[in-house]
Amino acid sequence: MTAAAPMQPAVRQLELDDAWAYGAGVLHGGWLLETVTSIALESTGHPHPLAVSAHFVAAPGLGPAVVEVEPLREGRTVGSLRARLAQDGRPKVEVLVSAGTLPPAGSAPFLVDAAPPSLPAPEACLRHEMPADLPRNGILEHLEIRLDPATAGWTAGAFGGSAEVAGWIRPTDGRPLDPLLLLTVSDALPPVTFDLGIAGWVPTIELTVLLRCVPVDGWLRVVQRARSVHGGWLDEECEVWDSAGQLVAQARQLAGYKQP
Amino acid sequence: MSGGEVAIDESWSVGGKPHGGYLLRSAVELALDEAHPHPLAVSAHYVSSPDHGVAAVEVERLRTGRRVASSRVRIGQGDAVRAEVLVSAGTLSAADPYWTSGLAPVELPPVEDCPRTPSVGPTGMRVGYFDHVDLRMDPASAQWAVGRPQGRAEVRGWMRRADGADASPLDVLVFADAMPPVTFDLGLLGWVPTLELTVHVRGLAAPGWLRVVQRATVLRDGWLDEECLIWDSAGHLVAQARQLAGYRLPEA
Repeated sequence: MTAAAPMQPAVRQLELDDAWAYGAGVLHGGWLLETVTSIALESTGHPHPLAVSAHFVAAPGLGPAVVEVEPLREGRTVGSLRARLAQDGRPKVEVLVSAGTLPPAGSAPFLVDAAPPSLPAPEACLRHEMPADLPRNGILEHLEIRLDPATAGWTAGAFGGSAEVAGWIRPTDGRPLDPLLLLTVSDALPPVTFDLGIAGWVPTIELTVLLRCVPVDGWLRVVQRARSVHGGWLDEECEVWDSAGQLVAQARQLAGYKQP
Repeated sequence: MSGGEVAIDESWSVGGKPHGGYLLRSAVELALDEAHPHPLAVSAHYVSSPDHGVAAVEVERLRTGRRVASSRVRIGQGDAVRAEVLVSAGTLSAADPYWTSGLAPVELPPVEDCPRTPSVGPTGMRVGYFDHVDLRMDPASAQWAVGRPQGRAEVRGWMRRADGADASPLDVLVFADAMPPVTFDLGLLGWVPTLELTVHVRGLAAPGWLRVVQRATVLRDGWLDEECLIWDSAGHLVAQARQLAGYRLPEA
């Protein structure tokens, strides 16, 4: 990059549809983050999100929305942006993006002090589907999610009490894996609260995703766990590993729950 | 839109630059109110390196709900944005957690066996915030300070305010960015600038020493993640933080 990019705010109108929504229009936090970030990246010369933070201010509904993007600084290795998704003039999702260039798949890390979760083969895992008495979940029409049966007892009413959910995820709509899709994947597993027997909606108030390298195609191994469920709030930490065994995304969110 | 000016207290500075955690605390404080007195989740993206002097803090309240007040905060100097911060504020509980994963607080030797980290480091650089934050590192994770890095990518120790006061949630924000970088234990002694830092404050800290551990998972292509966990003297997890920071390998 030789010249400074113009620091002009960009405004984009869009229609939030229910393709990825749950039920009558509950929009998925990870998908909202991907949607806003993909628009924000158009205002920088840097191709990939490195770190993305969203605070979910209020639940957006289906229908028209506006995304405003303000470039904060266009540096040599990092572009910094803020973006807001608003409806009827009210902020719904506020996002900060630090963009750059991720290392290509296959490049050697300097240090890795973690290992991908060990999972039974995808065909030995439980395909995540909505029970017939619950509304459709749009995300399952785009992503195939196969849960490790050891962390999916709650689907049959047996609660493990470990607050950990692990499984395989891949796109079913033919879309190749890319860093943006990892934002949705980082928030795609069912909430760990189900394993604690805490039913109900777990609204995210904050979600940050760190992207670590360009993923290779194939099944992703994803594990999500909580450490503390306290005072109406819980953390959910999510790691995403690609089929080449690379840690491609690290996410953490703070979400609300209702104590039974 | 509200806000104010922060006169940067140079006694906190590191190698002549304002400390990120100190600036963050000063800015987040302005996003709190009586009904939402504590930061619950704070996400900061550091945009450019601040200088000494005065910083302008601009606070935009995005929504004031019953449980959560959401704000966007900008720290600027002149025309330059230094940091952009999102704050979800509410009220923290001092009660026992409903459920925990059983993750035990980090094990440390007794505090009297952990020497205080001085505000002048082994390289002669002044780390002023160690006059305000009393850090007693586990000697086993501080061998790099005497030229013997262990290659563990983990640093741990006891922490409290140097003036002996109990830690408030705003102090905990500072503590979440106060450990020496884990890269020191890998023998990388260069500067580790934070690009992004998110802190979840999970509860009010009980009085007494806090246990702090910071570790990295992946160093790759110039970026590393550092996770910081803080427990209070009652054994409760009071903060979880993660940052993405830059590192440099020595010239081959």
